[in-house]
Amino acid sequence: MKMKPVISVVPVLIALSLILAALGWAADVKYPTKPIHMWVGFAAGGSTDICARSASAIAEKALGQPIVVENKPGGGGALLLGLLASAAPDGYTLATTSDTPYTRAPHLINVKYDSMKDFTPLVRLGLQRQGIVVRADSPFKKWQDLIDFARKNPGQLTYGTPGPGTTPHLAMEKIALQEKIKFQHIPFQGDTPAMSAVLGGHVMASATGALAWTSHVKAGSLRLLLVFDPEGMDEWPEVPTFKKVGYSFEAPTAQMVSAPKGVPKPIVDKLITVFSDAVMSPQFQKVAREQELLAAKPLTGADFQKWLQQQYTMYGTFIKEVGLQKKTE
Amino acid sequence: MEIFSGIVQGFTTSLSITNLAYCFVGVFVGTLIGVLPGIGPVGTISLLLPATFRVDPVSAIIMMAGIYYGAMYGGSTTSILVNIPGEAASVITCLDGYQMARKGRAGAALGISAFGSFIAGTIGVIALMFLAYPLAKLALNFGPPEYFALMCLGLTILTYLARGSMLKALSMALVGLLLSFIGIDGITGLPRFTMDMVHLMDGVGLVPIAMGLFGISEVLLNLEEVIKRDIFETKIKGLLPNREEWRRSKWPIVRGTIIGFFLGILPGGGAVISSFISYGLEKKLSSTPEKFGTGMIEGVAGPESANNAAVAGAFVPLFTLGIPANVTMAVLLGALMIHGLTPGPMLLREHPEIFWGTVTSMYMGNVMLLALNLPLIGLWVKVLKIPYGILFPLIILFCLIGAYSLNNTAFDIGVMVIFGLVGYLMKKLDYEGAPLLLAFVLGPMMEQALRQSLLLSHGSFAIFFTRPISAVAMGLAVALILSYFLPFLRKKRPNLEEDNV
Repeated sequence: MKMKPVISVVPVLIALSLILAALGWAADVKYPTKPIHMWVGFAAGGSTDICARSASAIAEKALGQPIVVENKPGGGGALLLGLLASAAPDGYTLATTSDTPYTRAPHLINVKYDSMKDFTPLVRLGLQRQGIVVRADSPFKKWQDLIDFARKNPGQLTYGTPGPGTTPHLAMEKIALQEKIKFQHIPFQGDTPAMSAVLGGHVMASATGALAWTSHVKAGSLRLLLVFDPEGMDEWPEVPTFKKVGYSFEAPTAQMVSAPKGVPKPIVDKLITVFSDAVMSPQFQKVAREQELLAAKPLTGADFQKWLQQQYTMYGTFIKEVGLQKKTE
Repeated sequence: MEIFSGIVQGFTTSLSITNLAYCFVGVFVGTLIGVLPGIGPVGTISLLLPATFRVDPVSAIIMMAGIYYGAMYGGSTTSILVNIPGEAASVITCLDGYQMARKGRAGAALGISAFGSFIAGTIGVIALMFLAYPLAKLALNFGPPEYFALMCLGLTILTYLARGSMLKALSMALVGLLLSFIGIDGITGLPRFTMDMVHLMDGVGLVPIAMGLFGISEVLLNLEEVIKRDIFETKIKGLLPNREEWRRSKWPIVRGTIIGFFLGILPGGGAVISSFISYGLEKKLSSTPEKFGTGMIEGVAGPESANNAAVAGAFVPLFTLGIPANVTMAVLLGALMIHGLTPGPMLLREHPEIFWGTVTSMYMGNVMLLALNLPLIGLWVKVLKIPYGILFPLIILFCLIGAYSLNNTAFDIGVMVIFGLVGYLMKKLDYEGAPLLLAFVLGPMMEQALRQSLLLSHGSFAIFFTRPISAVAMGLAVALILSYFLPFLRKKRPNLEEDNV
């Protein structure tokens, strides 16, 4: 009889330890318990910043903790990834950037991170729409006219871009390689100056983000010749895609959310769910439309990692072919 | 008609309670820092810039513009009452303004500088509207060669009119150019002088440099100087100038306005130079030039009008071409970009509310300033008595917070502190910060425009002389340089230094 209490203690202890274990496990997914920092690799007011703020505002409601957005611009996002690589992988430091510092910067400049190893890519928010425009009174009525002119007049076709090494620049040079022709690249500082130059007739064409030209194409002062969207653009279904004019490659620019390497799986899953939902919400879709971001279905987790890896390899090849790669000493 | 609908749209924007409040804060802070020696509009705007990140861009620009022209009003107060210019553009006002005050005409001097500023400011804003709007329509015709030629012309005129040591100004401009090379080259995409530091990829920040050169260094300099503050304790009576004073001031105000506005437009021109030139001109036109420096009201009315009109003029190239005419405009340009707006030909088309809202707010601002400055002179005099032991640590504190919050990085604080020390040494050795900062901003623009032009022309310099706008600008620049070197013409060059100081 004396032993009885002891025996009855055992199941209680087992039960207790089970409860504690369950609680411990629960503590692991009890995230977030404090404000989350969302670093943005570009300056306030830009497209990346607007997307980051919109997605964060929606996600923080689902997470129940505020998301503090902090802009840390520099080196086209490379500065931010350098910082993110050494941030604590606890899910309280996240980053929104374009994919540029992941897929292109490492080929162009010396960066302080390994973009394919140091991070956990979470969600691709969308793809930035881009295209090639000419002035309405240009003799180039369709894409082939521009190519024909460039073939007959090597190096005479001038085109503006938002800067050297940007997606539109790489795409145009890749096109020139495939067509075996030569364009004259005139780099500007950003989309708007490049677009003003084509409006003023200082360059014959400009390849820039859609935000800079949609209103002018609608107003009839610019003509859209080619779009970067693989599916084309709804507003201008007649404008060809790369594939339609016979180019086997794409040149996308993505907006994405990522975290340092080593964030616990439950937290990664939670963040993926929350940010995917945010992308699909009507509020974010509205912002995406305004920012000319193609945000149909978010790419996440392993699929996203694979996509990034592909872009990294593809842009590496692009950059080498175009002759822009960084010098290795 | 478009211009009138623009004005209506502008007033709708600028007359909202929020924007009126921002305008008031701007002109109030502007007057305050204008009165206080030690910190000017560049430092202040840089300092307040991070605080406007969450504000509507129109409101932010309205406030920052208010600081700029508000400082022009405030700067004259200390020049007249204490013989310390609160602002570089009011240096020349000390000469006759302080003498007037000693003769018991402080009220009239303050009155005429406020009225002159008001008249010039208002006319300047009207001219800005009627000039900038058509110019913005033409601005698309300005391609890289035109930009380059225009900046060449502006800098030539500036050199032509420069005062002080040309060698020192040029050496500072060279330092500014060298600093501007740091970062990724806009044409090839290759990093220059970055020493593999990611922080240097985008170059050194304009705002931390401005805060260092124009904020921290002023504080350091003032720490070691015991500023005599002989404020006229006698009651300032009669702020309204009498009939005779009005008669004498009338034409200087008109001439000052014209000089100020047009010099304000030129890159490198602006409030300081136009105030000096106006003073020189009034002295030359006067029947009693020998009396200048003894309390001539013309010597207050002209320069004080000129420096206000220059502010309006400086907005013309900023809003139409995206070229900052002076250092303050360079910081404002940075502010526009931080708010996601690209100053240039497209700004007026795509964001007309920014242009019209800011321009119309200047009417309101000028009215507010008249009200702030005339009846409240007593308050501003009291502000002068704030102990520096409280004021200076506050300025340093705000600079530190401001520098960090720009990009949320301590690197910018380091930049600011270094340039604070550099600026201190520069002032000790009589080097000016403005040529450095202006070259820092204009240098890359000129370089980019030059290289874009040569890419367009496949390497031929003829592109600058075959396009009409750039040919005219280049021709004028060449003519000016020739006239400087031809000895028989050289006599005609206004020797400002002798005339003024």
